[in-house]
This record gives sequence, structure tokens and C-alpha cells, in this order.
Amino acid sequence: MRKKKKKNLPVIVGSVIIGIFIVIAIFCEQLAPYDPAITSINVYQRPDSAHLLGTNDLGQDIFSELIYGTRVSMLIGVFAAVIATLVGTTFALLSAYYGGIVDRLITSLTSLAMAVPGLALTTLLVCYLNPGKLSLIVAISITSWTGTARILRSRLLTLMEEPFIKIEKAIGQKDSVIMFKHLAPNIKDIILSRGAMSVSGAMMTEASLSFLGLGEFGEKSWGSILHYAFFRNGVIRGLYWWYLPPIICTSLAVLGFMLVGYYGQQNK
Amino acid sequence: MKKSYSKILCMLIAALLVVSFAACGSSGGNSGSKSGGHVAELRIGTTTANDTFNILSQGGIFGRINYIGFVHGNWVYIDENRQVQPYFMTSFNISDDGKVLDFTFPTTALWGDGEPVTGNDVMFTFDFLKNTAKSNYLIHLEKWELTGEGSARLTFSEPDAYQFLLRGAMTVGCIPEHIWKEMVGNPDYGSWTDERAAIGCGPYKLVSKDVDAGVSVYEAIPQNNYAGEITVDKVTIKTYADQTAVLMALQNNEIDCYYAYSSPIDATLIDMVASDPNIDIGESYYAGQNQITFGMTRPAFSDYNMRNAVLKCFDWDLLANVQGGKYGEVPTSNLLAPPCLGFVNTYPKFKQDTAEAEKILNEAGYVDKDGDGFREFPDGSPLDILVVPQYSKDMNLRNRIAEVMMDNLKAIGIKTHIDPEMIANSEIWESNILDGNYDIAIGYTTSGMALGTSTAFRYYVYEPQPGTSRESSWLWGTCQDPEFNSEVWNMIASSSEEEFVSHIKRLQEIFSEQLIGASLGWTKSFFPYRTDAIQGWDNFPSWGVINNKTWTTLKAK
Repeated sequence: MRKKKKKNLPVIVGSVIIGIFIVIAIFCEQLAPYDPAITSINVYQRPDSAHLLGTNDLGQDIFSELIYGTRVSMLIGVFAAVIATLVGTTFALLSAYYGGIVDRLITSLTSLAMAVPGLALTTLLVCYLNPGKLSLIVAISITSWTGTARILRSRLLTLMEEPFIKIEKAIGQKDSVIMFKHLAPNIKDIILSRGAMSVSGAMMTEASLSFLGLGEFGEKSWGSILHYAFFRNGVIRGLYWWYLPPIICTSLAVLGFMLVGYYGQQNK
Repeated sequence: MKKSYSKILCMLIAALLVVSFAACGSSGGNSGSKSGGHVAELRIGTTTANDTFNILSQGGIFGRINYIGFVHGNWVYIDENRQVQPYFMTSFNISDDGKVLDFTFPTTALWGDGEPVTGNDVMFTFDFLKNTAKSNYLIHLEKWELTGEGSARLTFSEPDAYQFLLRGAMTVGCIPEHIWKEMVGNPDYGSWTDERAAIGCGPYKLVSKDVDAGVSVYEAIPQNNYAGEITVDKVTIKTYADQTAVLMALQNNEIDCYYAYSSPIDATLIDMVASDPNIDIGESYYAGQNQITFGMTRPAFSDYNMRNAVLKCFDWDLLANVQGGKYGEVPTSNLLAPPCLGFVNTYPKFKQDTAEAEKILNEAGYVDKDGDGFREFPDGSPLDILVVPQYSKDMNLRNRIAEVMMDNLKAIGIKTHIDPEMIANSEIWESNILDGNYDIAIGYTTSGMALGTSTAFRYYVYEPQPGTSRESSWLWGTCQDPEFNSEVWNMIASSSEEEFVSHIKRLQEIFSEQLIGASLGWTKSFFPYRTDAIQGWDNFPSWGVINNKTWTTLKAK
């Protein structure tokens, strides 16, 4: 009799949350009731049937802004996480495989990068680079690969002592083949978990930067919605329909990726 | 017996605590003032940094409050009706040709360090301002001389005397020779951080400061009563993180009023204190404004039809609301705001009419020829309007205005774009503005500029002042109409109020006829103040209750 596999509820919940946000991001044009750039004199409207989440200071529909914001936040989060994970994995492989001076250099670089406050460095980079999504992705990626590199390196050092790696080396297999065909597949679970957690980190950073006003002009992201809600003193004026939704969306998306990343990794 | 001692001790402690709490409770209020008498302490809240203390610097709240003759004894001041009034210059007279200014000054005034203000100080000041500070207002000053005890004469080679009083009133005043002689010839005088750099001959002297806490304290110098008896004995200026914090401090009676140069309380916040019976929101028309300038040296906006159509497509009600909340008003076509001298109230208010805008564009040949949903130039070349919000530390409002405009323009089929580098980099923005590389520039005129002699018209001229070069004149405008340009420079060089008004009236006509740009909305300014402990507040339009009269009109209630 086959043993029934135990369901990993946190991963399922996380996946459902991520799935919903991915669907929203892909079909935002179809889902949004209005073009979020359209302005009107109906400013600061409370939620009603015409505007489910009310309107902002330009009379723009906040629900539509939020839906379009999902695409921007997910896009930046996922791309930045993919780059950070690729960079972190590559450095970990190089460091663990070659050891010696390469390992010392990469380990020192990782320690140095970890010592610098991430958000501060990212903010500095965004200010220096030309404003835009690409700059945000580059700036977030540059500062968020370190954790992945360090964790993977320690796992790879253990793998390097395994007989199958020693045999591959002994028969003269190419370094790149050993690294990417034999070592990398053995750490894919950790890579995926770290990748999922990197997305949540990148989304938080994007939201923080947009909240600070470092996003792209006119771009509807969750952080920028929050930025303008604060600029218009939304909290002190009780405009909850403006500032709460982006906070809830950011929290939910981060929770989704964290659940998948954290519990997915633990189960393995 | 022992028990009763304990009881008495407990009662004493309780009484002590009650007294302490009562004392704490009243510590926020303005105390020590006699009804109808002097105000013992005026507590001013601001959002401007409390970090620069140099009478020749306009930095920080010290520099900004010196615009109204505080520690710096300014020569004259401009009153709420924009009239030049005596201050350190106790009287003045301009010759008929506008080239000679005779004035008197007090012989009993004191510097903040107790030294007497002398005629030599006055002469030293003009020497310093002309030769070290290279003051623009004194370019044509030829001679400065004492004509008696407490009287002097300035002689200009051009009729600049009136302009010197009008334009220089806010930023220049007498400086002490025994201190500033060290800085003669030093171009870095404005950043001199010596403690003595804060010594002036205004009605107040700096007595203590705590830069980290953002607090500075000043005491009156009774002898320096240029505008009458000084009725505020002590002034404390506290810097707060933002306007919300200032308003909370005002509600909690930690401060008596708000002051910040050209930064009234935001209209979206003022309702926080509007219902407080002890607070007056200090409402008045604001002279400063956001405005647009059309790039008239570029193909699109050199065409009157395009300018006309664009101004008809804007949602003016929304633009007014974005800037001034429920207090915002749609402006008229003559650029100026109501508080400006010479403002003419007969011009039509802007009104959105997209159908008319589209008709104008169609008739002028701006139609969609390639079927992409956007119009092209009459010759078929692509039309893509560059919108440039003025760079500043806080771009939020102008970016929001740009969003509204771009949406309105899209609605009538005009494609627009923003150059991200221009809104992120001040140097790139400035070089493009100076080169006229914009179709629609969103700019800002401060209330000081609007009420001064330059006014908002200064931002539209293309030709430099006769005798100067465009490169050195920092000109943002692109209007090359010769009459408009000469009227602006003549207005700035007016030698009397009548002359100024005649030029500014003509400028409003030209501006409205040619649609060179537009004000984006009239707003109200709010400089709130408490009314429970102090009386005699005088709210200058656009400026607030902290003005040149404050030090002599306030009385304790």
C-alpha cells in the first residue's frame, strides 16, 4: 500500500496566493475596470459600486491602480530575484568548486556586500542610475545575491566531498560540466527556495523605493500608490481606502513567496 | 502617632504630585505675559532647518526670517499693500531722476553684541555689498556718503534707487564693520560660520541655539525699535519634521504660530486645525503659483493654435484642486495671482472645452494621419510633446500636475512624454530649460518673487536685459516677442510704482492675447496661529502673521 504523501499546507497556501497575483499581473488590462491613468474631478471618493476602492487625489480609480501595480511589483520582484539568484548561485559554484584564492575573494566580496546596509545601497544606486524599471531591477539585484551565495556555498562544500564529484574530477571532466550538470542540480531545491524568498525581498525593496519616490514617473506600483497616499497626508486625513490596499497587497505577496520559500526548503 | 505621620507624609507627596502635574499641564502655554502688555515669549514653529546663523546668508530659518527684519536690520520693508515702508532707513527720499537716494538712520541703534551702530557701519555696508558681495541691486551705485549725523546719500549712475529699495529690501541691511571687516574681499562671506556672523542690528539678537534640537532663541533689543515699540520680548523658533508635526504642536499649544518662507501649510492639512476655536487658520490669497511655460522656439508651441487648444483641453477644476484642495481656484489668462500689484481682474477664467480644442487642432491641420490614435503635425511629421516639471527636492506636486496634463492631452489625441533624467537630475533639467528644450515646462513662482518686481513674467522672457548676455542671465523663457521682452525689463527697472503698474498691465494684455503660458491655479495660503494668549496678529497676504509688523503689534491677551 502506498503511503499517502503529507500535504504541505503553507506551501499550498503560498502557491495559491502567488498564483492569484500572477493571474492578476498577466490579465490586468482585462481585470481593471478603468485605465488607472485617467484623471477626473471626482477626487478622494470613498469606495462605492463605481469605484470599489475609491479614488485618489487625481480622481484615478485606486482598484485599477492596484491591479496594474501588481504587474509592476511582480515584474520587478521576479526579475530582480532571478538575477540575484543566478549571480548568487554562480558565485557559490565558483567559490566552492575552485576554493583557494577564488573562494577567499568571493567570500570576502560576499562579506563586504553583506556589511553594507542593503536598502541604503540600493537607494544610492537607484539615484545614480537613470530612473526606470530596469534601474530598479539592477539596483535590487546587485544588493540581494549575497544570502543565496553564502547558503549555497556551504551546501556545495559538503557536496564537493561526495565520491561522485571526486570521480568526475578524476576522470578529467570539464569544470563547467561538473559545476552546472552535477553540482547545480543537487542544490536546485535550495536555489528555488532562495529564489522564492528573494522575490519577496525584492518586492519589499521595490515597494520601499517607490514609497520613497524613487520609482518611475507615472508608474502604478504598490509602492508608488502608497507614496502618493502619504504625500497627500492620507493617514492623518483617514483616507484608509487609499493607503491600506497597497499595504495589504504587498504583505500578502511577500507572505506567499515566504511561505513557498521557507516551508518548501524546510520539507526537503 | 506613627500612623498619622505616615498619613501626613502621604498627603504631602500627593499634594506635591498634584502641583507638579498642574505645572506640567500649563508648561505648554504662553505664560508670563500681562494682559494688553508685552508678549513674554513668542514661539514660532517652522519646517525650515535651524542650522545656519549668518546675517548675509539666506539659508535656514535664520536667513528666511531675516527677510522681515529680525536679527538683520533691513533698510526698509514692503508692507501688505506692497508699499515700501521705513525700517532701518527711518526716512528716505528719491530724487526726481531716480538716481539719488537720501535717507536717515537711527543714531541710537545697537548691534547684537552691544556696540553702537555708527555712520561708519552704514558706509562700510555699502562698500561691502558693492565690492565684496557684488550685490545686483548696487551695480550702478557710484557714490555712498554720509551727509550728516544719522543721514546719508546714495548716488546711482542709472535710475535704480526705487529698485534698490523694492528689490533689496528683503535681503540686505546694515552690517557691523567691526565684525565683517575680516571678510572684506572674501567671496565665501555667506558661509562664514563664526558665532559673530549672526550679529545684526535688527530688533532681536540670537541668544542661544541648539542645532540638533532645531531650536534657536532670540531676545529683543529695545533700542532697535525701527517700526515702533517692540512688544515681543523673546522669540523661540522651533523646527519640526513636517507640517503635520507643526500643526500638532500648534494644537497642543507648544507654539503660537507657523512661519516658513513661501511654504504655507498644505491645503489638505489645514482642516486638522480649522475647527479649533483657539486657532485661526491664517487664510489669504497666495501670490505664488505653479505655471506652465510653452516652448515657443520649438515647432509645436510656436503655433498659437496649438497653445490655444492645449489650454482649452486642460481640466482646470482638477488642476486647481490638485494644487489648492477645496480652496483652489481656476485662474484667469493674465498669469498673475490676485495679490500681485497691478493685477487686473477682468480677464476670462480658463475653462475646459475639449470639443473646441479638438476643433482648433483639426482646422489647423493637426490630425491623426497614420492611424495610431495620436495627431501629427500638419506636414505629417510625428508630434510628441515633451513635458518638463521643474526639478526640485520635492517633485510630487509638479509630477501630479504633469500626470493630469498628460492625461488631458492624450484625451484630445496629443502624444506626450517625460524625460526621466530631467526630473531626476537638476543639472540636466536646468541645462535643458536654459536651452529651451521643452514643449511644456511646469514651473513655480515663489510668493516673494511674485510680489517683488520681477513677478512671474520674468520666467517667460527670451531676450536678456539690454546690455547683458543671455548666457549670464539665467533665462528660462522662450517668448521672443520684442514688445513682451522689453516690457518685462522695463517693468523690472521701473523707477516708481506708477510706472511698474503701467508695465505690468500691458504685460497682462500681451500675455493673455498671445497665450505665452498660464498660471495653473490660484491657491490660498495658510499660516495658522493661536488666538487664545496673544492678540494683534496681522496676516499679510501670502506671507502670514510673522512679518515686519509682528514685533510691534502683538500684545498679550
